[in-house]
Amino acid sequence: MNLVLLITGGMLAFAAAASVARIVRGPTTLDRVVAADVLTATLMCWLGAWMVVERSTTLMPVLLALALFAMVGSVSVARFLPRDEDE
Amino acid sequence: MAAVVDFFGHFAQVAAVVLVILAGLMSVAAGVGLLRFPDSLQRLHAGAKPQILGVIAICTALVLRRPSLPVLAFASLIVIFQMLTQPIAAQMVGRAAYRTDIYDRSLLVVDELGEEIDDSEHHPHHRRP
Repeated sequence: MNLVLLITGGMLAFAAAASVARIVRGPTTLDRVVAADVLTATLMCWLGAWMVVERSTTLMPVLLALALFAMVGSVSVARFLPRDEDE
Repeated sequence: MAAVVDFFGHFAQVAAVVLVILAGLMSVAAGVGLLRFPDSLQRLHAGAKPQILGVIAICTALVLRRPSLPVLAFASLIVIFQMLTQPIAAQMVGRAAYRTDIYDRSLLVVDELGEEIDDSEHHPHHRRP
């Protein structure tokens, strides 16, 4: 089971690094928003993988809160995006 | 009987491991897509994989690992809310990308909304932006 955590952790770490790189590089705001969403999903997958390996359910409310509120940031940014943005 | 329960116990363990690794692979696909795809809409498409499929796989693995009714209820609640909220977020981001023209129009295969907008220019209620 530790091996599973190691393999999954490596893959999730790659995904997190890729989304952070996309947040840094941009080039537009929407790319950064999408990358931040992917970062949140990676975090959810990591918390869930940890719970699966540890046979624990303590973090499930955290997953529920992330599932509920992860959308707020990207929706508000996408809703109030200025029309002519300098790229 | 005990052998059957044992078999299903082992099966559940193996399935949980496979599902967790599947979620990791989804995340890797999203990371590669974020790095390699050329414009926002395609990155949005790649990024939606771990948000839905990864979370479903993780929650299923959790239920297989701790098979009880409260865990099943909580995991279904997580999956349901994820499936409610993430498409809304993706749709809003795609809409913003379309309306602010920050996507690569040459990469689109079909643009039904653009055709509708072009058609409606002769419509009496159409207002130009």
